[in-house]
Amino acid sequence: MSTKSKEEKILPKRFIVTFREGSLKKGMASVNNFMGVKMSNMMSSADFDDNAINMAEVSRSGGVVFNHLGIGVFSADEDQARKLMAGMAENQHIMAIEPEGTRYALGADVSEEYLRGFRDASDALYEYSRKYGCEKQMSLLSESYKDTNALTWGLQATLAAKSKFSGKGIQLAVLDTGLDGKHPDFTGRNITGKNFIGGTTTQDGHGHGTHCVGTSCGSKNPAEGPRYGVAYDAEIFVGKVLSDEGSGQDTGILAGIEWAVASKCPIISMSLGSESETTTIAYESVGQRALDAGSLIVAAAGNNANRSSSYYGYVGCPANSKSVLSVGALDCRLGMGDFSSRDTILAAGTAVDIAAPGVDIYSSWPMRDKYNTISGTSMAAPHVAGIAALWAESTGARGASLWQILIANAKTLSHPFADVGRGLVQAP
Amino acid sequence: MINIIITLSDNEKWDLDIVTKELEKSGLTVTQVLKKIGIIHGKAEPGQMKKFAALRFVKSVEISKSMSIAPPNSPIQ
Repeated sequence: MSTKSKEEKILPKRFIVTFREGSLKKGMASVNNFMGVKMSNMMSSADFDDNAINMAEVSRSGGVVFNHLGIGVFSADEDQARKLMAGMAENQHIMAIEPEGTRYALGADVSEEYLRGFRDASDALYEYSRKYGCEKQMSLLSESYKDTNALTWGLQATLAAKSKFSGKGIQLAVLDTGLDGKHPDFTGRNITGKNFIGGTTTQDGHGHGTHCVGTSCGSKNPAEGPRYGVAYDAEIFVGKVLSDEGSGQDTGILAGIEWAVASKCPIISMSLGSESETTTIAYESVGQRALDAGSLIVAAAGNNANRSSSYYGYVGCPANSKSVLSVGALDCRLGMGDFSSRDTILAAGTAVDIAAPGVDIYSSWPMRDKYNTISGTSMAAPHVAGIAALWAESTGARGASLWQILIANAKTLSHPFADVGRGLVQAP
Repeated sequence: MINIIITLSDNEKWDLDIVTKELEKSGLTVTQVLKKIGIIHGKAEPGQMKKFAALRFVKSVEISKSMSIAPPNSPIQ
């Protein structure tokens, strides 16, 4: 028997307890209660120079509390751990208790058997790729969704349909061509509107705006057809910054952002952009100032790619700003939309940050059509905006924190980062 | 005359009355003050842009451009 295995038998095992936000003190009392760990045996990060804990100095019978991280590491025998596990289910101060793992440097002590398995798997994948091509392989490995009588495919793929959150109490601004005020699916909704193109109405004479408002904030129970809207209880702020012909000026768009920030909208959805490889200092600065004020700007990456002809385009302005969350478009098999712009510029800020459903998207359209199915990164951005509203409701996060939550919870895809960023947006 | 976007410098509490007056003195016809996001819109001749950029509270001077989306009957928007 080796020395290492002897130590493992002698030493009591350690457990990592993660306390809920602001619950360190009460959580510690729970640990004391369930495990019989004495507070006097515990050490805290404050006991060490520069809060740098030396685990060798930590009492084996007690443990240590990392004050800034809100976690504790405790030595516990099986009986103590079992008691804490049992008590944890009903304990509101403790988020998780997990046994401490041992990490090894990559490459150390790798067995021949492991390497053989790794080689065989790599060989099989290589042969498969040669036979079917990488794109085919990705599509075979990915999931597939379709619109049903009850739900659009986008709400299914993003888990928005299963979310218990609705965007209640969250103000979501859509800066676009407006909203059809006569559309029955928005009857009774809390809607605030403002025109930034020299008129007085936010009536949508194009359709694009009504479609985007529908995806981000549409009804849970539409007049007919499947549910297509994410944040069905959000307060809707409609900023008409584009004309019925679909054009607008930077000045009107910036004025719309000012209005949304001043109205304390945590999310600003902008399915618009110009064919410019670089951003402007104005958009870059305003995106950051909006984040600092608690407003996240979500923008469409752009539709200038033609992937089937091997042209990948570039992310347009203002999505190519570091401070604006840029959204790429996916189809119902989680493949790339043929038009969805790739980050080919590879400069700071020009990235696609996240992806969302953007091909064959069913949503509201001005009367009498009532509904329309169209494609574009313009359709992907409102999915992200609506889901951001759900996260804003469920976590209270705003600005840069909300951005981080969206990114951290995205579902990994097999596509290059330059196409989909961190992956497919997911609802809480 | 062209439409101009003035971005005010970062990390400052802008005194917008003074900022507006100085910009107007330099030749900008101020059309809109966006105080939450630190932007001033105005009109001026292209040759005057350098004068605005030299003011201490100005981060950038840019020309307002247009953006557009596809027509309603386009399958890709």
